[in-house]
Amino acid sequence: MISQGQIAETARLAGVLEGAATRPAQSFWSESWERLRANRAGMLAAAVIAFMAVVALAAPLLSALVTHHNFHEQDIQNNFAPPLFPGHVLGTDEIGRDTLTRLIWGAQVSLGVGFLTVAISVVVGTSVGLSAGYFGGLADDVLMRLVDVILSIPRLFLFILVGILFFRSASLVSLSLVIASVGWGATARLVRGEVLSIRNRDFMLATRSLGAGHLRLILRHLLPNTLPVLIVAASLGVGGVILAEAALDYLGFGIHPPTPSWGNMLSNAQQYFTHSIWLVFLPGVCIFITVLAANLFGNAVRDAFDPRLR
Amino acid sequence: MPWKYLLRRLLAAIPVVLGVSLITFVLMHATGGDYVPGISDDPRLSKATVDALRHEYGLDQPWWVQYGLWLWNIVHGDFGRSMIDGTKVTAHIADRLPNTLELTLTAILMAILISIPVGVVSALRRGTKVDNALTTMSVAGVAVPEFWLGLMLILLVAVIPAQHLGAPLLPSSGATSSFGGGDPLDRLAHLILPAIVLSFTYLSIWSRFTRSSMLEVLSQDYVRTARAKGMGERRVVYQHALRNAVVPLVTLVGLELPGLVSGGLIVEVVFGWPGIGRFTYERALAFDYTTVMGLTTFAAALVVVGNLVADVLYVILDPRIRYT
Repeated sequence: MISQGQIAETARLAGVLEGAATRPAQSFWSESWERLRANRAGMLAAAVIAFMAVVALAAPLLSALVTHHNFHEQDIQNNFAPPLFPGHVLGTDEIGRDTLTRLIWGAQVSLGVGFLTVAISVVVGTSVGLSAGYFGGLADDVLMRLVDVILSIPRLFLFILVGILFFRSASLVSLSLVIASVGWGATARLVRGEVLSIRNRDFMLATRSLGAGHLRLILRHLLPNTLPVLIVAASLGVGGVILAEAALDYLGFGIHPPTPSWGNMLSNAQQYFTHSIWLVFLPGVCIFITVLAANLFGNAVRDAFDPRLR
Repeated sequence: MPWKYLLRRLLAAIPVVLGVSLITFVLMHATGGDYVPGISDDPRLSKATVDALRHEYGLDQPWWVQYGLWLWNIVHGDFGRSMIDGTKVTAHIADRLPNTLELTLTAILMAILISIPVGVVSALRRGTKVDNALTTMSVAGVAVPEFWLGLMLILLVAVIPAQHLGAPLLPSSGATSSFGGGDPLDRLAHLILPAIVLSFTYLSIWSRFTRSSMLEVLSQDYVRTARAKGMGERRVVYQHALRNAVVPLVTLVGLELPGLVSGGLIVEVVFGWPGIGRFTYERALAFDYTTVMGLTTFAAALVVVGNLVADVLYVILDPRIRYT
């Protein structure tokens, strides 16, 4: 016999289930977005990156209105001024150029190359990965061997070789192209892997049997499904690119003086660092904070979009 | 079986090496690779002499003939000659490779020895202050630029003590080759700083990895079984959990094998370490194309070999991986 208690319990459970069913359905995107918003460290990191980006974009404005110096303007009488020197908040370098102004302009290089490189890598890598994974066969073999080749050449060696061969002085765009010429490989591998796991699912077969062409299948059905891994890979990639770019500047194969970048400021300052420590210290701190924020934000994005990896 | 797998991997590596050599060669050729500094523009040499020299070195041949020749030489272990001093690139490599390996292997060994205990402690004290501090440090460790960390260490250990105590605690550059008969103790003193900087990145990644790997293993059924039958915590952690947690770390360490030769470039430059990386950098600054090209091809070939070794190691160490 069924007791009253059991009936009441069943009714309660049904109520709970019904409640669950009436909870508004939430899309993958809004759910991920909420998870990201809830991650405090990640949002703080995003704020730091946003601040750096605004500073970089507003560099001409800031140097005209706030620091009142241009990045190449010399103040020979006050060279090697320490931080908090009147007129030079963060001091000056060997020919009296204002350090704060140069750091602000340097942000343009680091963030510009960081974002541009990742954008190029993602676009190229996604196209290659989608085609290789979707078409398979010979195209897949050739493209993936090419990725193997690209990823086998030690990054710095390749950058240096390209650097001495093609330009004595790199620009923001050319430097991004060089770094992205390696960066797309990893993205292509990642996207191809995702495509292989999606390609043979039922919905793909169903769409194809409805008469969808290759282009529609790839762009409307495969691409959106690879977006989560792409977003994660892109946000985790920025920090590494900023570090690589700074290393190239430091070695002298990137942005050349007089255009200031954090890497070339540091390399220029190291000969004076027995007496002017801050000239080496400050650019390094800028690189560190930016890369740290980029990595923390990347981790937060990963946790939000791919809870399996947490 | 492993042998068949090994053979297949070896065969798959051939097109990759070919592709690498083609890319470096084409890059080189695309920028007027037949220019020889000191010869092409020397006014004392007549056009006929320059042409004869060009002919002698095969520079008047079509590019694919030159590529074939170059490749043929590489297969026979000849990576070309420097266009500055005329010495074989392989001779330069033989000079500096032991130094580079000494540095990178020390750094990797240090990183392994430190990251495993750090990761285990973090995992065992999950959520405590110790864990948080260690995890924060490893997140920060990946974001520090190597050259900056190197310079700061030089400042703290060499420059400031030299100013206040009269002598640096550790030398910051000027290492001589121990294989050329240097004093081993002096050599060790020179090795410490660059090895610390180089191991820093590895350390950050590996300790975090050991932590998560350890956490995963500790939640497995066999660990609960071991505890349930009354085994001491020490034995559970160090005999059952740790052994299994370390296996995936082997792959991660294996991933760094390709970097043994090329990974230390920046650190070698900062500390004036007489290795392959600093040599490449110096020759690049001097626009010694042929040497940089030879070195790049050599380093890339070692990357392919390193990947191969890592794959095979992994298959041997983890019986769950099938040979496919």
